[in-house]
Amino acid sequence: MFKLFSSASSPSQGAIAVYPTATENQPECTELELVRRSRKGDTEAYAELVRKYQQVVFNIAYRFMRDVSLAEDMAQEAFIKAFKHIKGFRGDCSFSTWLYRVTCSVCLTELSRRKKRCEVGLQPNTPVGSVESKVNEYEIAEKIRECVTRLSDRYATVLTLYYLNGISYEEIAEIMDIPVGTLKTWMFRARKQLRKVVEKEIFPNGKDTP
Amino acid sequence: MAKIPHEDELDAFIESVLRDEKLIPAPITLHSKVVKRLKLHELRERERMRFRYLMTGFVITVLTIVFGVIFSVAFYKWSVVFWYGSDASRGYWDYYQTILQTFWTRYQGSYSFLISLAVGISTLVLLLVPWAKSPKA
Repeated sequence: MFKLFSSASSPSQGAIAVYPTATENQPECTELELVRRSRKGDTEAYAELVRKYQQVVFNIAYRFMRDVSLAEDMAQEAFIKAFKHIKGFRGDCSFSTWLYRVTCSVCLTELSRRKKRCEVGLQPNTPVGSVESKVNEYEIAEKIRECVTRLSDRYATVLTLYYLNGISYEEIAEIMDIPVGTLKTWMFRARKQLRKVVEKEIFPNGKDTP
Repeated sequence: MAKIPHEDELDAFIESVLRDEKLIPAPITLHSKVVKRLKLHELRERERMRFRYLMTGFVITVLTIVFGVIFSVAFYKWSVVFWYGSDASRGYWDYYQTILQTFWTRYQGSYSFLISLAVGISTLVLLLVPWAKSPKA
């Protein structure tokens, strides 16, 4: 689990802490203003932030939960939790970075809770060889994506964020509050672990693929 | 079904599967639901603050009363007043005792009041006895 309110690696990476030129960073100023108003409890300002980030937050949640309705619930939880704790956001990283961190945290907590209750887990995987005609490529791909959620928290998070368009490598490191070098190590280990899970869960009888 | 002979190819396959996943549009209802929950949260916070102020006022009132009582007990010689009465402006006990005595002796309706009180209590007892004797579920 991540520390939600820990300081980020460097203020220069955060969009809020920079000194912008007028034209280039006009949206950042608007966001800064919205965050400032949200910190004072202005729900309308926060609703604007929700509108801006709902797409990415929902997709992060979806990639953790692999279910649209659950992802929607988790996205809601993430936004509400972020609003409750927005006073703890010091602005030493960008708001989006902080929000994605909150989202990952919410999803991982829910996944952990579900694992404890045995609510989560892949459907019993039928070996590909036995129902070759019915299992299509889409299903295999979905199962592989589901396998990501079976990894340990940190590896699931780095893979999820890495393959989500629009989040840079540096930003992932900032979200995880780790150096980029460590992130690369984690990525390597995550891929290795994922391969093992995929081999075990989807290709138990050999490395068949459509 | 094709065979993947090497781990590298499986890695490449996994990589392509993960990379090709497209962003899906957020549900239309997401924003409105979050806004509704924000409003609820705002209301709850307002109520919490109201309750906090109310309880603070209540605690202050109770503490004032408690300390007032302690102060008055500590600085007022109640035993002397109780056993010996008091003179001048401290004779509250005597005063109220006398008032009570004169009230009961001079009050014309005191017997009627006592009788009506007794009737009321008797009625209540008569009503409650069957209920008390009835078998409980």
